[in-house]
Amino acid sequence: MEKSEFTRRVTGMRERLYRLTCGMLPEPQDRMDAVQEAVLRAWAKRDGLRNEAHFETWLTRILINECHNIQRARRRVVALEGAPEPAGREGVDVPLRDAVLALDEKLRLPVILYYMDGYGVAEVACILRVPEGTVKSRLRRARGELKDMLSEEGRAL
Amino acid sequence: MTRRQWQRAFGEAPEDFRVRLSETLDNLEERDMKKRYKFTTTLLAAVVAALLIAGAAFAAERLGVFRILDYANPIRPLEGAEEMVSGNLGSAEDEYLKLTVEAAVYDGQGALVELRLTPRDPERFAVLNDLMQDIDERVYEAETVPVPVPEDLDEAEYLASVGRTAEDAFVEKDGVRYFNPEDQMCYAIRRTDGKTLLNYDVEGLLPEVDGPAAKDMRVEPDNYLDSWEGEEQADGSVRIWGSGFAGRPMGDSLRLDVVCGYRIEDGEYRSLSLPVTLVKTEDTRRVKLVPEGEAELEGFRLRNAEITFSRIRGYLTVEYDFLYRDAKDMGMDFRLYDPAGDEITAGNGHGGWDDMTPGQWETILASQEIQSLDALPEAVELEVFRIGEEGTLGRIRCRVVGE
Repeated sequence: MEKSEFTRRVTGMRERLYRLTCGMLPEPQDRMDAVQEAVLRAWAKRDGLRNEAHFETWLTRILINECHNIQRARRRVVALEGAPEPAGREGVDVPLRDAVLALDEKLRLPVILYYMDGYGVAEVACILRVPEGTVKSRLRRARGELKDMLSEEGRAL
Repeated sequence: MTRRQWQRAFGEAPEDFRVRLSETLDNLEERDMKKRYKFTTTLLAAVVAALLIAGAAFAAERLGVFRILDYANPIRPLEGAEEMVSGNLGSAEDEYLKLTVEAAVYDGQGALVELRLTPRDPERFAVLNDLMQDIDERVYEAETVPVPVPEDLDEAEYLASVGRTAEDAFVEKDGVRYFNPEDQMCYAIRRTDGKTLLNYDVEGLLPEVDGPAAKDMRVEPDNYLDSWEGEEQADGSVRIWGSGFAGRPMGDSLRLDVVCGYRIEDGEYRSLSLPVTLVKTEDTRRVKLVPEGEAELEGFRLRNAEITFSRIRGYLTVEYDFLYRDAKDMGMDFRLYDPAGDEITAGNGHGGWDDMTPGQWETILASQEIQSLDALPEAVELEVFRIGEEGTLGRIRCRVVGE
């Protein structure tokens, strides 16, 4: 894959990459570090990606691994609920964000990948390395928990 | 909620994030780490398989409780397996819904169930899990996520892999090419006939398996049945098939709680629970795979491998040491070949670990369901792959030794 194509594909995924890191890392600096490292690793490994149609799921998997790296490096439980966000950011649905972050990571990642990023169940299963049935079950459970949390705010999902 | 509303949970990437990503991309060559990994026949095969599964319709023939085994890589129970199946295991109901366990089978390690959910008043209520069932657009208002076809997709390769024509697999809208939305997952919003939706989920739990036992048997008690499919029937009921298995044998009987949680449209949440006891009705055959030569490959040492066969399916369990290289390392995958060189079909697999230390040898126990065999071969070959890398580490020929 040529650099121009690689850059185009990564840039096209920018918002997806950002949302995924928001769901896994509380510190903005860590999020940027994770994405940088994932992009560099993807670039280094690009010759091995024989079917470029799968670039997006491939890079997403790499980014999840990088986020886990950082979580492990921190040697602490990553508390995401109420994580610091830049003040005054427009367009953020804070109750929804807090509800999503309150989910267990097993439920949170399928929600981000499926509902926010538009991956299909089969792709999410591939990215997270779990059976499709597990993805479906986790999505269903997550939606139930989110509905309960948001209904306390007088919101519907 | 629409996708855009979901995305507002985190908003758009802030300026410093954009700048950092842009700088990273601008300096790729300078930062090129020179390290060349190889990627992946295995992972790409998994992706293609996942796409195939996503697009495939459930097999039409009636297989009863075994139907879910026919869904991915078809595993065919041996003749007589139907004799192991128990029928009519009971039902639970409330004023909205009836849950029936119509059939189930347990072979000492894995279980399959066939359930039915029936609305008590099918004129007013409909039962739905839009992730497990196909959504009929004539019946449901649904939000479908359009997925653009990547410009550089090798269409010929893709179409060959899914066995479709271009006219069938793709659609064009406003000059943009999309995968056929009929292949995509839908998010059902409401019924067009005005019926109230009972949005359900089902689980298969093992309430009598405690933590230490679960660890020993390599099973998740709160997620034992982890593979599900559902199909709406003409009478308004929904048939559901579930499957799961442990990494190791679990005993002669199993207390399984089938739980159906459901939400009435977007309101009240309820659940029905039905405990059933499943009994292993016949002995399994357990064999060890004993390496005939070296049990080591690069970065891999085979500690123990065995297969438990029932007439329904086989369970290959491989305990191995491997050199855990870094956080991207996803361990090993396996294929089995009979003496004629034919691959023995494998289905779902389990295997995972907690924290590992890069650069150290770690031990994993992986398990996967495989096709059962009438006659046991004298030997098999265990092919070892490093997940996500091209090629194989090699094959280990093993004698099949009965216990």
